Amino acid sequence: MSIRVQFEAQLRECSGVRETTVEADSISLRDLFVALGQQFGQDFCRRILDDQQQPRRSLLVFVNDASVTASDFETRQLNSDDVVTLYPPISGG
Amino acid sequence: MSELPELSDEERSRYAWQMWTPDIGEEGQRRLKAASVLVSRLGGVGGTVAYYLAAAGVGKLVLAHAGNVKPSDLNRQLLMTTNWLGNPRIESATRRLKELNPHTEIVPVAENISSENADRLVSQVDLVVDAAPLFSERYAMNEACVRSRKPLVESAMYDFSAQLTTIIPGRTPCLSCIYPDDPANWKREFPVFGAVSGTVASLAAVEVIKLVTGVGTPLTGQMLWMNLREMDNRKLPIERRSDCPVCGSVDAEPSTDSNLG
Ligand SMILES: [Zn+2]
Repeated sequence: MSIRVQFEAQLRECSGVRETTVEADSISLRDLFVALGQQFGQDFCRRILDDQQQPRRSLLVFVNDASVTASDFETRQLNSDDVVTLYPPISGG
Repeated sequence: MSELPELSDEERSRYAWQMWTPDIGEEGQRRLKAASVLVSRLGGVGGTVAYYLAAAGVGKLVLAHAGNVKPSDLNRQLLMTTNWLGNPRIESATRRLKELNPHTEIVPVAENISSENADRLVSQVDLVVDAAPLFSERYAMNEACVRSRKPLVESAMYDFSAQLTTIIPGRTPCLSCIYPDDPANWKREFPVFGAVSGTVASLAAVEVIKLVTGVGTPLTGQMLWMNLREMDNRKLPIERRSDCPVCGSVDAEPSTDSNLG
């Protein structure tokens, strides 16, 4: 199955893409983050995962049109054709 | 309404076109005249917020911004002028706002927000707009607003993206509910066009006008995320965290006839 992942703001800049597709048989949100971290390198990885490889809580994550709270990152399983959007914190003023 | 300040004839003519707005009228204008707003930083976002609030006739603006005008401010910070390069930003901002509207009282503060000054500055106003470029300043402001139960309009941008939400302590998520950990890798300098920072600034000023006059529905419990590269805007639901160290134990207070609480 394939999961579409969309990036906003700095995550576009350090991945170099607006969106990508991840192929997997069965995948949780956390494992998706790990796969994305491996694909897009250190700077990108640090923005979505902490030193323990846990998803950062200060990331707004949407699956399709619903938000996913940080406590569900580990357990939330993704389905084929889900669209995941990652919104990083911004503070420009 | 009796305790609201009266409008002079000059003020009535100055604000005539906005007083035509349904549900505003003279009473709405008097509410704006009675209102006081703290704006943190007068950069591309906060400076434009302050400009629109002065234009709208907000009675008192407490403005916090340290430092001197630099050439790289001038692409977006509309209260800074070329002839004021090297001189205090707060002076340029005060002069520009006074030129626009001498009726608005300006309280200039040549400091950025920190945990040392946040409570003192928040105590001087009815509500707050935060447009600081550092999360440490935003967290300090958020904590002060929650402590004093003052509404906080959070406005921020990066590149062609912008976000906006209105925090009512005890009723909506606070900044620490939205971003529980200090964001990693946020850099103080960020890509910005004045037209982008001005877009979110205009919307933040609209939120203030709504909160003060009671017109419309504030952007609470949702974050407006604007992607101006594709003109793709979304309202993202955001939720309070029961374990939030800042607002987790704060209950809602009964609301009044305006949107201010
Ligand atoms: Zn909170």
